[in-house]
Amino acid sequence: MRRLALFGPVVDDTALTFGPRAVPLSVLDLAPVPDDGTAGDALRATVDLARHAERLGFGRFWVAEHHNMPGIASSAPPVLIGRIADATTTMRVGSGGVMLPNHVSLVVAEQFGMLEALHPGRIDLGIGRAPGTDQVTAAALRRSPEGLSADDFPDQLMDLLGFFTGRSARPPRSSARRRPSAAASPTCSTPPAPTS
Amino acid sequence: MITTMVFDPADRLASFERIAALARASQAPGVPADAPQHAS
Repeated sequence: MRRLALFGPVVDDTALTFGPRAVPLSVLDLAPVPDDGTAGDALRATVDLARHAERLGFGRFWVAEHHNMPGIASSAPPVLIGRIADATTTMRVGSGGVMLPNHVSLVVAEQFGMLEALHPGRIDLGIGRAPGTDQVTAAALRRSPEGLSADDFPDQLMDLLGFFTGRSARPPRSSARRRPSAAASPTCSTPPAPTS
Repeated sequence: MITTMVFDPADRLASFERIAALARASQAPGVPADAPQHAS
């Protein structure tokens, strides 16, 4: 998965690393629901794990997006990211990832712009292009079965970048489809920085 | 990016404590720079 470290890609120098080459260590969580527990239990456990991971020195804590899976409680990453960022103080928090085809790019830009405004320098936006669910649920997310066959991920991604920066990021050949005055609010003060 | 799955539903916190301990041990003096970096 390619990620967009939209608000600064650098993890704290003091973050936990592995080996002589200092590979940074981070956490990706799906908020698994225990057999005898509830989604609420799973989400509270995820917040507890994030606090623990911060104390241990992990640099980032990311949460996934999955839908219609009873065993996974992480269906709305921005909601969970906000709660985790509130519960921690220094660790970066983000999505791994937001499944962009399930959403309108402007809404994603505004959700993560708000998170960045509330927690400056701590928010990562990881993006994926899979549905993160079954076909029926994916069709519901995209409002129609026709939405499943849409192949406009590159345009969506360019829109997302454009909404953060307030200027079109699409190639000229498709710029006619874009709304030139649209921008996310809040937006970010740091230019997006794609990383691999 | 290197990924390692950690899933001990009985005690997830302990799983990450073990990972952190491994990471700190891997940076102890005397560990050669070309030592294997696989922690799973």
